[in-house]
Amino acid sequence: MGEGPYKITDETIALFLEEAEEHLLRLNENITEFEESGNKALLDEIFRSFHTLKGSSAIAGFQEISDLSHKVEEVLDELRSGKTVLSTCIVDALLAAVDRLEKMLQVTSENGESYAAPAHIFEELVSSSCCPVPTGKSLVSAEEENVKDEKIVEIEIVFSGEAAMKHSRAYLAMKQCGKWGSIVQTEPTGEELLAAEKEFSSLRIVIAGEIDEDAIKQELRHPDILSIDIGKRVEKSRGELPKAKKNSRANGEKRSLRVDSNKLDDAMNLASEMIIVKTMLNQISQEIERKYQHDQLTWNLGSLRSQLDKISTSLQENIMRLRMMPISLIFSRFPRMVRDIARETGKKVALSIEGEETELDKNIIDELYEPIIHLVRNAIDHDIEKPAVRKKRGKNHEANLSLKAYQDSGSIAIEVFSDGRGIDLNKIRKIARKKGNINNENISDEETINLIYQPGFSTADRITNTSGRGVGMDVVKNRVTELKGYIETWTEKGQGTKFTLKLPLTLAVIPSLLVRVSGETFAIPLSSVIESLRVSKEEIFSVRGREMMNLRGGVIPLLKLSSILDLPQIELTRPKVFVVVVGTADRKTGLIVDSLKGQQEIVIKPLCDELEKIRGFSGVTILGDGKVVLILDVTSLTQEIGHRPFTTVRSC
Amino acid sequence: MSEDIQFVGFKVGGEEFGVNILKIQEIIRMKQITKVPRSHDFCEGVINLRGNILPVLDLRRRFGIETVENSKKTRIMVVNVCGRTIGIIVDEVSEVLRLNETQIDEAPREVITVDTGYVEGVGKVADRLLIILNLDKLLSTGEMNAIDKEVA
Repeated sequence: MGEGPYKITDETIALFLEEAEEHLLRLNENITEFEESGNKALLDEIFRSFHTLKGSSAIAGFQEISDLSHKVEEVLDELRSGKTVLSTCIVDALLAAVDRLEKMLQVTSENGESYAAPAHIFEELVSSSCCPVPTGKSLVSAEEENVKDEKIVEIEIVFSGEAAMKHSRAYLAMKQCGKWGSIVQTEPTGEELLAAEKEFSSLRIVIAGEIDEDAIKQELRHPDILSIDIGKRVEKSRGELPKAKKNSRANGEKRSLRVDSNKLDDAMNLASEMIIVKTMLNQISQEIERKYQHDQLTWNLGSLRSQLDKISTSLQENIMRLRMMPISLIFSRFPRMVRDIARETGKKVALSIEGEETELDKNIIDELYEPIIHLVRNAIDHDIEKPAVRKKRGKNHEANLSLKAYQDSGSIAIEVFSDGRGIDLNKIRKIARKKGNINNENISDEETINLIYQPGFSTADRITNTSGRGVGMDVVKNRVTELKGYIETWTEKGQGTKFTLKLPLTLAVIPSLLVRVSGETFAIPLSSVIESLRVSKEEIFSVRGREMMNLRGGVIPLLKLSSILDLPQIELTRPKVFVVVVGTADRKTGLIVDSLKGQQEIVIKPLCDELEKIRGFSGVTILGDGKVVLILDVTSLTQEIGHRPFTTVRSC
Repeated sequence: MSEDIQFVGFKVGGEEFGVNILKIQEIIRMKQITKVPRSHDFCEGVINLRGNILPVLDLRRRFGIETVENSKKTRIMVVNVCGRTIGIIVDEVSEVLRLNETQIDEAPREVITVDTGYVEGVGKVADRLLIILNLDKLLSTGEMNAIDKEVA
């Protein structure tokens, strides 16, 4: 480590590593965007990132990282001054440098030491400026780009003097204007309006965008508004727009704070615990209220209680929300990756990203990165055709690849769509037949598509760098299943392929079914419950010592939960037993339980270290009354005992 | 003069034991314990301690002493052992004792077998004898390994 004049603490290094990681992420994003647009503001941002890296790595004592950053800075400087032209070579060299920095950082974070970048990186950087294969894009300054095709318009809205809630009205009008373009400037400013302190009679808004004056007037009309005056300012705009569109991202960026996720978990724990205590308090205070009905104090207690109710519930919700992060965290890495894979495979791909602000649990986001990479690689490698082929088929030679995230009734959907050749179902059938995955001739399209999720299945004729080894789709599926989600596949020959991952918003809270067995309560995640029903004892029959039942034409094996869990059996006198059908559509198992206790949203907590290794439980939860309840891991329970004998029955 | 060490005295199956007070996070009343099926015998189950899930071990079973019904005096001692927080059930927690090193004798050689390495010494308080336990040894050699082995 470096021998600076002052001591470099572990915190300094940790802070540097975190910061550097963020910069590299942004660099990847910015460099790819810069290659496309040639926007000068982006170049400046790239420059700043490298500059910061240079400085902070030197402070943390990693001279080698600093040296490389410095070298890149020089190249960028020449680019900025116009001495060199933007070329694919330069972009490649820049990205290579970013990759190298990433690797150096990784080693640094593992060993706490840095090492020098190999010389060829430097050489490439230097030579890159002399091999101009221009991208055909010249540098565009931010202002020029912003005003392209856009009108800059000034809207003046005059409010009547006695308008009620004038500040709010004006703020709303301002928000409405945001629909038609990006707001460049307002007077009074939004903050002033929200503070509702400054007096004003009219609101001036300067917006840039495609503006339909009549529509604006129509929409803004309100009794409190006396007049709406719209004037164009195109000719003046360029000089006067100090920070227009491009920087809106920077302005919109929320101030954020880095927090150890363990601290969040602690806060979450305490909040749920508070709710439990609150529930108990409620019970006691209700009793008190009954006892001293006509006392003023009782009344006070009641109103305080309901306040506490509200506060604690919203506190818990807020803490939950802290765990949510926008999916842009991983989406933002794709432009770079798509560019690389497309070049590697000689394909032209236009990537569009939608809904990157969609939020979901940080843990899920982290787990999703790899599956999405895989889907994207697959899309480019298998689905998207070579430009020449596309032209022949009458498609645009540049393929569309879209990543989309959106909220869909309580769950999150992530789509990876490519308008390529689609999945060749017949080819899959042929391969599956050859490999022996299927033996009957006619299987439905749906079943055929499902074959691609089987381990070791690949339709690729040859193995490439990126895909074709037949590992992957099964991993993608497993990961999504682990996250309590599922995949929908859509494909149309010649039209393309779309994978939709449906995931729960958060893993911290899951809906579950509470059941009772031998006097104990257990929770079964609803995601693995198919249905629950009551079955009379006569309907249960036995095949080779295993209990089975008919379920709408199919036979499913039954398992007594009490015997799997080695709990004392309670002989039930009722003629019917409760059966919870769990598993997947093609692998159902019926669990016999004593009774159902109902559905409940539960917060998953890990089982303590010593007990974590016991198979069959995925965690514990604490119910509203403070009782600890184990969460059953249905997959491992049924795999362990249920299915082995069952499959032998089937195969004979 | 050597310094005094504070011990928490507790009873299990009629015997008096002592544990260094620094090992103890808190002592709570008996509360509802959720049984964990398929876990080791010693492991009584898990409890909810202000939102944290702790495993609870029964010292009576660990010592092979006949289990008695939980009474009003039954307590769970929440201890920090080997970097983990666990609860141990004891019949009664009596008091905090201040013992000088001179009051602690080494455990008689005869009782230190491989399995009882957790007896650190015997403390003399007036006419009582206090078996001083080394919880780290007790729980690392006993339950923890057993549990690990069992589920591995």
